[in-house]
Formats: sequence, C-alpha cells, structure tokens
Amino acid sequence: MTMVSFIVNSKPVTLETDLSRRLLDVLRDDLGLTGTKEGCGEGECGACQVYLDGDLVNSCMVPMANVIGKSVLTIEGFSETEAYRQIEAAYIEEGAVQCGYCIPGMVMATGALLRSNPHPDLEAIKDGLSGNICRCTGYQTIFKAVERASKEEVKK
Amino acid sequence: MKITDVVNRVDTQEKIRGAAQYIEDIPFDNLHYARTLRSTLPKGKILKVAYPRGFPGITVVDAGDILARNEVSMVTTDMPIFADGEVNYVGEAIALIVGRDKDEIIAFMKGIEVTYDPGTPLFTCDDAEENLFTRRHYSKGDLASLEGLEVFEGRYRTPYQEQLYMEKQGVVAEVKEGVVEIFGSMQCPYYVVNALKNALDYPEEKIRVVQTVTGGAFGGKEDYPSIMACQTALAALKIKAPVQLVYDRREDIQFTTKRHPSDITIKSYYREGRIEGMKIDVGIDAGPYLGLSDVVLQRAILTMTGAYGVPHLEVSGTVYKTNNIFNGAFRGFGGPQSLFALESHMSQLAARLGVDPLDFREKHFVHQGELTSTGGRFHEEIHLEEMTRILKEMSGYPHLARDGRGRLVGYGVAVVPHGGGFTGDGEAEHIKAVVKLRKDTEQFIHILVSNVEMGQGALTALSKIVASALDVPMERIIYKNPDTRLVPDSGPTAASRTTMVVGRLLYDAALKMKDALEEREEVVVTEHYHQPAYLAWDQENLRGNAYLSYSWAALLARVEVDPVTLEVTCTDIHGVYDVGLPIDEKMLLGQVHGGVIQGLGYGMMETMDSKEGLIQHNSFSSYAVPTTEDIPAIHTRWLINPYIEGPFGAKAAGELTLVGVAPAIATAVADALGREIYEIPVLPEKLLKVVKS
Amino acid sequence: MTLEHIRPESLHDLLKAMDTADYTLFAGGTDLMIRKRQWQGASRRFEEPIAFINQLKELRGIEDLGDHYRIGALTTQEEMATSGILPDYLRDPYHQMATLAIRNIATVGGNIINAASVGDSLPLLMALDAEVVLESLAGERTLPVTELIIDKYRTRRKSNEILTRVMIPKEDFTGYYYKKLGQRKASILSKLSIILLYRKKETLEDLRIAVGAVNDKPVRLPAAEKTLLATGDLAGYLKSLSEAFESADDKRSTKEYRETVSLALIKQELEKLFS
Repeated sequence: MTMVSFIVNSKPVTLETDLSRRLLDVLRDDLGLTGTKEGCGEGECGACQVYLDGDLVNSCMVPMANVIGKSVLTIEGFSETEAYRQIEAAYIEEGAVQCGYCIPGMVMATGALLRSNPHPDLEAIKDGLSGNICRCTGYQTIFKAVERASKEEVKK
Repeated sequence: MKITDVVNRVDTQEKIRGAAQYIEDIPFDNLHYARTLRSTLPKGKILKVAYPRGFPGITVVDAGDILARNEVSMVTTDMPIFADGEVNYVGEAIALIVGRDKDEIIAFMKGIEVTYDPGTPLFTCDDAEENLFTRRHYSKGDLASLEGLEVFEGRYRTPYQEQLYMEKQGVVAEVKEGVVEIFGSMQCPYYVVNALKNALDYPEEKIRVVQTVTGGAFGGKEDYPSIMACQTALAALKIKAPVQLVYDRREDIQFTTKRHPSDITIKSYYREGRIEGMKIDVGIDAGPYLGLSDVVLQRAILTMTGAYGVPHLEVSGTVYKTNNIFNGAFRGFGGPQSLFALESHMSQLAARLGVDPLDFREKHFVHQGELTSTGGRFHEEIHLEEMTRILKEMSGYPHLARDGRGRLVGYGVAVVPHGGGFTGDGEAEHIKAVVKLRKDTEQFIHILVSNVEMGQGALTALSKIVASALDVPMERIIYKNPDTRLVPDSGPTAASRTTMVVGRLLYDAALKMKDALEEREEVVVTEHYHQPAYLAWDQENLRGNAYLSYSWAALLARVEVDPVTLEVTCTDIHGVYDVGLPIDEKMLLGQVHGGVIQGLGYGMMETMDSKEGLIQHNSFSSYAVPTTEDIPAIHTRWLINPYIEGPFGAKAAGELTLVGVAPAIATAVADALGREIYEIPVLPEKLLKVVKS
Repeated sequence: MTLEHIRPESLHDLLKAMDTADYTLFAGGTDLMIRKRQWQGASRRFEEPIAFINQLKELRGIEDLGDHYRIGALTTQEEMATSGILPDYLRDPYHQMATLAIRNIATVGGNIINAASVGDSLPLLMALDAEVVLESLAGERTLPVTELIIDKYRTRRKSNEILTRVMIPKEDFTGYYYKKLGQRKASILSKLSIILLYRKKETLEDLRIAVGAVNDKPVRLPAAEKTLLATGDLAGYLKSLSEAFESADDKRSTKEYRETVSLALIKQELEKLFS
C-alpha cells in the first residue's frame, strides 16, 4: 500500500492504495464516483472513460501508479463545465440515449473530440468515437448529437 | 398533450450525467459479494467439493442450502438453482462463494477442488433419443399432392449471438423483516417473484422485487435474473446480510444465455415461378435445460413462411438437448433464424428462376382475409405491395448503381413479419396482464405496471400514451421503475408487447379515469387483459391465429465487397416499417437503428464458437460487435397502418427492426459475389471458401 | 523475501534497482492490465515485483536528428499518430492502432517489448530497419528490431535492461501501402497487417515489405526483396513469402485466409509498382 496524491474534478485527493489498483475502482469504490462504468474491463468499450491530465483514457487500464500527481476529470466533474452543457442538450434533443450505460463514456469521448476538432465531419465523428461501444442506438442518433453539439456556439 | 406531439425521452438527463444508479452503483450497508463456483466439465457427477480452510470471512451457499425446491421456475422447472450431484454444462453453478472482501473470495476459490466422474457430453444436434427435448409440427393443405413438381432445397445455419448488453447481469438480495427483497437489472420482475415463490415456498407477501435502472437487456435479462435471484436470496437468508451478485464481463459472455444456433432445411415445390408448397425442418440447440427454448422454437416455426402465402406446408421443429451453454431469449426470439433461412431461400430461388427478388416475393405476399399458415385469418390490413413500392422508390430500385470504386457491389432484400405479443392465446392464458392507474391528491397520475425501461423507451412511450389519452401534460405522469410491492403483474417486458398490449390497457384505464380527473381525492383504475374476439388458438395442435397482430418490414441492403480481401462493407440499409401508428417517431427511429445494427452484427461479424461446450469468443476483443466505423447509412420510412386493438393504433416494433437485416445483408453479399450463401455471419474467411468452391 | 513494487523517479534509480533484482517493467499498462484482469473491484495481483516507469519523462519525446528519428520509449502511440515531425507512413499505422483512449496511454516501447504477434508497430519498424537502444547500468547497446524480437512475447532484452529509445532511419520514400484487417473496421486486433514502403522515381529504387499477425513474428524477407528489386520477379518473391508463412487457425481468422489474402494483396500492390 502506498499513499498517492492526485486531483479529481479539481479537488486534491490523497489516499492509501495499491499502485496496481485501477483508477476505475478507486473512482467508484473509494470516491463514490459511480458515473464511470465498467463495461468490459479490458479497454474495448469506453464506458469507463475519463480525462487524465486532459487526455481521454480508459480508467480500467490505468493503474494508480500512473495517476500520481495527475489530474482526473470524470463525468461528474465534466458535467459542471460549459462544454458539457452543449453536449448534454444535443444528446437529449437527438434522442441519443437509450439504456444509458455507455453514455457517460460516450460523452467524455465527445468532449475530447470536439476539443481537438470543433467541427468534425461524419468521418471524424466515427473515428473519434470508435472506442465507445453502444449496443442500443446503432450510433446514428449519437452521430447527430455530436454534429448538433458542434454547431451550437458555446455560451460563455 | 396529443400523441403526435414531439417529446424528448424522460430518463435521459440523469443517464448522461452519470447520476442514474444501476445495480452496481447503489450502496447497501454491510454488502457482501458473491462469486459463482462453476463446473469445468460439460457433463459429469460431482464426487466431492473440497473447500480450503482458514477463511473465516467466507460462506459457501450451495444445493445443501435449498429451502424448498432446487428449481428455477421459468416455463418449466428443469434447471436447478445449484448443481446437485451432477453438472450438465461448462459454467453451471455449483455454489456461491460469499464474503465482504473480493480478494479473499478469489483466494478462497483458488483453493477449491472439485472432483468429478466425467460423463459423456453431447455437443451436436443429432436425432438420438437422449438428445431431444421437444418436437413440434403443423401442416396445411396436402404437400403430398405436389409430387412431381420442381423442387429447390437449401440448408441454412445460424450461429450463437450474444446480447452484449453494456451493463452486466447483476442483482442484490436482502432480507428485511422476513421479506426477501431482490434489486436488479431485469426485464420481468414477476418472473423473478414466481421463481422465488417456487424456490423458497414463500407467499407473495414475503417477496419484493425491484427493477433498477437497466443497462440494456435484449432478451438476455428475461429469464436469467431469476436464476441469480434464487441463488442470492438463499445466500442472503443464510448470512443475514445483503448479497450482491454481479458477473464479471467474461463470465457473463461465456455462461449466460445466447441466441439459439439453428439448422434449418427448406424444400420448396414450385410451378410456373410460384411456390406451391414447402417442407420445412427447424432444429435449435437449447443446451442442457429447456427453459424458454420450446417457446423460442414455436416462434421460429410459426414465422417460417414469413410474409408469404404457401398453400401446402409441412413444418416441423425440434429442440435439441445438448451439453452446450444454456440458451434463451434474444430480440426476435426464433424469428431471426427462420427469416434468415426463408429470405435467403426466396432470393436464391428467384435468382435460379432468373426473376427479380422483390417481384418474386410480391407474387407470394399474404393479404388481409387470407388464411395464415396455421389456419387463422389475417384480419388486419396488410400493405406489403405498397411497402415494396415505397422501398423501390426510396432506394432508386431497379436502377441501382453497380459502381463500387473497384469493389463488388450487391443488393439484397428481405420482407418480413413479426408477430406482436405472446404466441397464440399466451396473453390471455398465461400472462393475464393487469395494469393500474392511480391519480393522487396532488393530481399526479401514476402508471403502475411491471414493465421496465431497459433502454427501449417504455417510460416515455407509456407515459405519452397515458398523457395523450387524458390530454394532460407529460409532467403529470409518474412512472417509476417497478417495485412488485406497488405494481400489479402486467406481464414481462418481452415479445414487443409493452406498447401494444400494456399500452392499450393503460389507454383503456386512462379513458375510464378521464371523467374523474378533476376530482380531489385519489382515484385508482384497474384494467385486466381481454383477448380480442377474433383470436382463436389451439395450442396443442398449433392451429388458429398465432399472433394478435403482425408488424412488417421491407428492407434493402447495399453492400460492397473487396474483391481481394472479401471484406464486406454495408453502405446502406433502406427500410419501410409498418408498426401501426408510430407512437413516437424519434424513439422508434432509435429502435430501428439499434435493431438494424444488431442485425448487421448478426449477419456480418459477430462470431461465437463453442469448443467442448466452452464458448471461445469470451471477451469484448474476441466477440466483435459493430463500432461507429461499421455503420451504414440507415434510411427509414413508415407505412402508417393503425392497429385497432393497439393504443392509438400502435403495434409491435422492437424486435421487427432486427429480424430481417441479416438475410438482407447476406443476400446482398451473395449478389455481389454471384454465389449462394447458406450461413451467417458472412465472414471473409467463409466467403473465401465460397468463392474458391 | 518478496520485493515491493517500485516507482523510481529517474532512469538511473530504475537501472540500479534492475541491476539487483528482476522487475517486470510497467509502462502504459494497456497489455499488462488485461493479462492481470480480474473481477471488478478486486486487486490486480502481480506476483512478480513491478517497476512502474511511465513517469520517467526522459524516456519520452520525438526528435528529428537529421538522418533518423529518435523516439523515446515512453512516447505514446497517439503522440506518434499526431506528430508534426513524422511522415504519414509512420503516423498512419500508429493511428490505426486500437482507439484514442488506448493510444493516449499505450507506449511505443511497450508495443515493441511486449512482442505480441499482433503488435502493429513491429512490421512497420522492421520494414524501416529501425533499431532499439537497450540500456543497463553497464551501458548501452543497439539492436535492430528484427533481431530484438525472437518470437511471440519473447525478445533479446536482458532482465537488467530497459528499452530507452527507438532509432528510425529517415528515408525519402515516395509512397507506401498499409492495410490492417480485423474482425471489424476499427478498434480491433489485427488478423493481418501489411506494410509496403517504396521509393520510385524513374525506376523503383527501394522496396520494403513486412507482414504482421500471420506468423508469431512479423515476416520480412530482405534478401528476397533485393532479388525482387533487381529482377522484378514477382512470382519468385511471392513464392518465398508463401514459404515463410506459418499461420494457424485461431479465434480471429484462418491460416487459409491470412496466407491467401496477404499474397493476393501484396501481388496486387507489386503489380502496380512494377507496371
């Protein structure tokens, strides 16, 4: 067990844990941040995606050793941002949510995509979300939601 | 509000924010975790289970802890809750290992030694007596009279398909003041109640089942939660603490129910370009227990003539008993297997006769007033010719371009039905749905039904039906995840029955409530299911109206095949759907897209092999389902054809969207290659063999 | 005595520790975390001691050194895919690896040292005659990637050595062909990958071909490439390649498919080049 310090959703956190423990388990079990989901547990589905120092990662593949001193943003933190509000409105309007289990991860991936490419075409949207599996929607309405979110101006 | 008003889904925002609580997100005091000790043999006697010593925090729950019956009551009771002396498939539950600490549970399980006397397993569907569960048969006309006609025979095979709901199977059992409470991800809360009543010999008052936000199901959470509920209820009663059983993903993929693999033979007798008779034989692999498989078989054989009138028929079906994995429900429920076989067969025969596949189908379309394959009558309006016309128009048929930038281009069609609700008189004889509407003193109207939201949109659809029937805003409707203490048994969330059957009952209840809407005191209206007068069914002989109503789809798939790698790209799916009156187009589009892509996965890529009874494709990386890059353009049109018994004219929709997709794609690939295809998925590896042959 | 996991703050500290005991090196962890996958919430049990190295900033970065690119071992795959320094024939295969969320943590060095038969960077690096630098307390040595990889999951790295950087010679290729095939179009392990690099001006001056995910180790035949370049004997080259294949049926594909399709794709590309 090792004491590790890092930042979660803008707040500093210090806790004792095993260095090989997954960020996903620490977020859910130690910090109660259950918006981040385990879908597959092996980096294939994207349901556990969060930002680590701003980069989109699958938290099921990140050991705590690689989180020390870094900043983590989960869906709970992201949902407080302006960038998020736009995405949420677009997902609701397009009916892009069915069972919802993949959606927090999908929204994190959408945020990452729009940050690097504010006006993606369909090909770029497909590429940007190819690491997020949704079994309900057939992705069509999600593509539309991303398009819609990219078209509306962020209100400051 | 009006039924035609455009609404947004009611359950969306909290899901997006990650605030919706699925079973694994809900805290319980003193929660214990359970993991399943599973058989490693497909068949054998258990001689001894030796548990390690020195684990004070661990409790074993097994067949010795059974209270009343070691049976999971579904349609039958042939499956044990825990293996008792023998195992019948790899992965069968022998015990639950329960503790507070997951690491300790894993360490304990590493020390368990199970000694078996291996038996002789069966993995193939052969006609040996010990290999059979049930056989079903029906006929029409006189097939023998067709001796001498030209015949075309094809044998079609379909694989396993895994539901791969994003949220794994999970339940929590807790005992409070003598009441066993189950919380979990499920489709059918009252199935769980009934299974617990049987297993524990408890009266209904001592059982409470609460559905939690469910992260997809697709049939996979129809019967399976009953097994997990029985196991965890016994564990919670034994240790007197809440017990959580949530599967690991690989465990879920390997050991829970799948779509039945099938082997279907169709022999057509034809004359002057028209099929006069068919001899059809359907075989499905149930695994070691019957479960829902006989019901799946019935839907498979009753769907076997699809959208076509065939004067002379002999249809038989067999459920095989094997030591492969135990199979169950998956969106379409026997339909996808039958319709892959039938629609492939129709296109193959059309090609052999040198006629257009849609024209060939049109010659055989059924019509209102005609007899169904089981001697019932199509009492509703059927607009297959009009649907085909719209399909042709929207897709540019028959001037379809063959230019594929160096790739082979092909087109495939399918015209398919899906019977809404339970087969035959199942709704009246078995389900007997009851719904309640309650208006409280603050003028909110509560929908009290046992049907669940699992992603398909039930919360929104049923709320919209009630709000529209009462002409009140949606905000006045309250519809929570069902708690069997509060809601009557309105039946399972299955068979595309929720909107059509339960929605109609709620509509009727709403009309009865309408006059009392402005009263100050509480008003409760209860509504019971009554079978429509036109429906008559003889279950023993499978005679009469097999379904309450039929929904229809006409599909056209365009594919491109790389001539070197034989990779298939589906570029377009055109579809015309008759789901009566679409209750909410935005939500139904979601059903269409999702069903199309699950059907595309089934037809094109989802591969699941079993070796000595063990599923080989056991992870998200080896069991590949479509991602964003595999998605074609999906073009959708509605054929508005209100169903008189449905709420505002709505019919079944959820399953219809999947059932015809695989044959449309497979026949498109066959068209591109100029070959016949008899098996899905159309993997490049298999196409290489087809091309080489 | 069981050793604790370590997380050294400098390369020197790491090398000192590795000089006295065997550590499993843990960089991005995208492979090790799957190998140790376990029930949600339970510990990932590494029986052997682990050295976490991802924080070693000195092992990260892409540099253009004139005649070659120097890539730090802990450079992520996404940094490769989006580098403003690297040419497309390097960026494209890295972009097609896994997905963004994995490329953001998976490292260049990890994909090499892991030496999986389906590691998509290996055929590329072999075709480019890339070399790796292995460092221990005793010093450095340089090894071509082709020599480093023995076969599936086995390399010539000694237990006290760490791969610190990859040296990729700069070539003025005029074109390349890269094809990755999987069970679906993206986010998937390869069932077959082909990289073909060439310099064609008046004549074809340089040609490299490597095939991944067929054999345990990617297949590259430098001698046969030379002969092909000199003689234009396509059939001869394809025959050598066919003889070098030793694929098997597995969950992802079949021996027949991998071998037939590799040969057909390469033949098709070569015919274009030699026409």
